[in-house]
Amino acid sequence: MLMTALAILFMANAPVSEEGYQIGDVVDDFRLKNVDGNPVSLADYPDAKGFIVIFTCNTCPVAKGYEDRIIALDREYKPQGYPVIAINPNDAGVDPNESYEKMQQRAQEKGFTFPYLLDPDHVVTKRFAATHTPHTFLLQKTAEGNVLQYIGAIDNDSRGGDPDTKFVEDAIAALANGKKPEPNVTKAVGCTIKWKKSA
Amino acid sequence: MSGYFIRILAIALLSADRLSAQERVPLVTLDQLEERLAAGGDTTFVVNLWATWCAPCVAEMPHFDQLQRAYRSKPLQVLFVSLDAEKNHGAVVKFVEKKGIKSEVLLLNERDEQYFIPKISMEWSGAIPATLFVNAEKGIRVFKEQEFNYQQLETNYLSILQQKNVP
Repeated sequence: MLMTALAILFMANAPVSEEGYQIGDVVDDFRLKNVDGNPVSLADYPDAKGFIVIFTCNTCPVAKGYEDRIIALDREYKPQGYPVIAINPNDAGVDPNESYEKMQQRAQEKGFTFPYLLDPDHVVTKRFAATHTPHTFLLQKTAEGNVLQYIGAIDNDSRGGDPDTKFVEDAIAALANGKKPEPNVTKAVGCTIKWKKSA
Repeated sequence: MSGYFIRILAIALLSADRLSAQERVPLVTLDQLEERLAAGGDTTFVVNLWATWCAPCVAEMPHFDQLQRAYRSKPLQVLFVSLDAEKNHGAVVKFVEKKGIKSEVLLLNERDEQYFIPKISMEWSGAIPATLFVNAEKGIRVFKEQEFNYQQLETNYLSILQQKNVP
């Protein structure tokens, strides 16, 4: 009973927002396991001009509502040098539907054209300070490394599915024209990340 | 206090299906909501931002109803503000009735997240559940992007209750 109370307390006290990368920061590479069993790093993409890193998951209805739009983004922008890298920030111990097997299943069902990576212990999630799913971070590859250029929503309709402004596409277009994305930070309603309960 | 009882009475007297969607879960713009919070005097508003599709939101809703019940003699007003898309208004009403939600439920009639998210709080990433505590007379506006258990919710409310008015 006490343990349950403690568990609930810890769960609710889990970090919701920590200082992560800011716009203009160079992002460290990572090496996370993909649903195909192989590890994926940003360094695996020598020809990329940048990356659309999206924290997304199996269970959040908003994130699921975006799956087709994420696939479309990857189809459109991978050939242009900006592949999608999806990372599941959620802990399978909190929600079994976020397990690696369920990720494999989801990726197969939806025909994901991009890697869908496991982030055990939220290591990469915390570096980016992702707070919810879906949460997007656009990186631009430069001589200094992969620079964070945009944080936020994919487009301006997270709930209705009928956007008239496509933030990520506009941001990539700006970068392609040698400009900075404007806006470079947007907000959207999404699902809180399911943080691992403290042992 | 009386508003709460009148509402309970109204819900009890009118069978659920006789209340229209607009009566059971009114649409509210952010301006309308803010006006109400600003005009609340010493009422402490506990504004819970939720959606029918958000499992942790749904899980914590009974705690808010419990708080409203426990402090019904105090100037406390729980407001459940749904972020469901307006096209799902009917589904929100059905959900509220099925779950037997006692506190007042509103549907936020705003589409532009770049407008309403930072206006509700600059601290808000957009993740839900999230809860805003407002007491106009005391000049309090506290935003929490987290899930609450009952004890945490009560602690937050009591800390506001115990604060003196700003001079």
